[in-house]
Amino acid sequence: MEKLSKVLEGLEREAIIDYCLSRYGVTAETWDGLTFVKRKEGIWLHGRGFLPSLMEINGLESSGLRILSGRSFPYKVTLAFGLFLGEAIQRGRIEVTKEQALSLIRRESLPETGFESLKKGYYFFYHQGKCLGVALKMEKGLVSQVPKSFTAQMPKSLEVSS
Amino acid sequence: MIPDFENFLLALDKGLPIGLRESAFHQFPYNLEEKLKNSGSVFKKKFQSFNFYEVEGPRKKWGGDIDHHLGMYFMQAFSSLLPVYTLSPQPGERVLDMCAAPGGKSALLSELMQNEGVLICCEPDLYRRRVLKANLNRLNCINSYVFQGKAQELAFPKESFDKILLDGPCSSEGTFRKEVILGDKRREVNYLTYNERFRRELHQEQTILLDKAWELLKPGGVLVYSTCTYDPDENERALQRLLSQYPDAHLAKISFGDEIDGHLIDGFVEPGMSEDLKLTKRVYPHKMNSIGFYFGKVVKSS
Repeated sequence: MEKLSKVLEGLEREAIIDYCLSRYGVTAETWDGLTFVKRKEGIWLHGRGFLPSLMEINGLESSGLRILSGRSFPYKVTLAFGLFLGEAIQRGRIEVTKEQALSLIRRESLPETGFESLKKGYYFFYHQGKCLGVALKMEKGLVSQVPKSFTAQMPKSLEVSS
Repeated sequence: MIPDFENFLLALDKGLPIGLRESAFHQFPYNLEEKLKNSGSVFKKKFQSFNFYEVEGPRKKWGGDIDHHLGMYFMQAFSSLLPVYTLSPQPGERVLDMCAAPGGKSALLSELMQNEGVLICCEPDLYRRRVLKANLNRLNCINSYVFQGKAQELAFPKESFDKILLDGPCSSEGTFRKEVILGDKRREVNYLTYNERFRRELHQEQTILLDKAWELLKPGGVLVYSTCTYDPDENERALQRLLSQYPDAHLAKISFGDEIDGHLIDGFVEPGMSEDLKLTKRVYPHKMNSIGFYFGKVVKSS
């Protein structure tokens, strides 16, 4: 059974909000009414009215979204973060070509070309305005962080199949 | 019992339409109608008051589309939305979806609740539960909890929920269409195992679930019972048993406005049954081109 660590409040909640603002430009108001829950695997987002006591009921697990993974700062952003917040992400996002997007979705790395000016860190990659995943900028280029499960589900093309 | 029976039979010979419901929770500027226009697809808006489209083309075309994976829309039958709109959950309420997988109705419940309050979704089967969770995640439903078991095993105190949707296990006659039966192994099995024993077991399961729903519903709360079948044993007679057993159970009127109401047929009533069962609704494929459905709204006296 999934174990709840704790609901983040006060300074701990503010630390998450500050991190998302400074790194990804997500304003503090975006999180109004939403609940952060820290578990072993990261930070999960829940709606208003989240009841921690429910997690003590045997067999019940929450479906909230894991928006940050890792045990502590600096957390790694997840695709769920990108899909949930979309246009609210103002920084830490890069636009890629269709070929680059497909490569990253296939969990292939992209060489340095075109991304030299980026600082090291996690970036959301977008194609035609849609967030498709997360990539890690390293010295050798962009390393895909797309989960295997997402790769398996995604269509081979980024367009409507005919 | 089925009006205009010849046309009903003709409708069964046609394939099931593919329905797309635009999700409310995606955070990108998105317009499903624009996408459908740009893709050159043949489509039509089902009813003006719903953000729902019927499209042509192979099912996998729409299920395999990137926007489907990104949670911009969900594929489901139009008639399956009606029990959810009948329940009409509000933000902040405690809502139970007793038979939730694959999650199309749960996601709409979550949307109507504006992701606030608590939505409990039950699913005992591991594979179906994975699908349910994936869909709830994909559609950004963050007020939901998934219960790993049958709804009757849910260990909640009595009168815990404001609203309950029981879209119970049924014989799925409403999905029996020529192309579907021939093309879908699971439904073929359903069709071939449709015998007395199967019906008896289903009826037993439905009875247990209805009793549990009534136990968990708050006074003044609403239960919507639905199935995708035509069999009165699984529909009106199941609700009649509930009405007879619980004096605080009352059927309520269902209306979606003129645009939809004309496509719905009143529930079936036989001698000895409550006349109020006429307030329940049936969906037939020749009256509304969708899956056959039955649903009723039961209110618990406060």
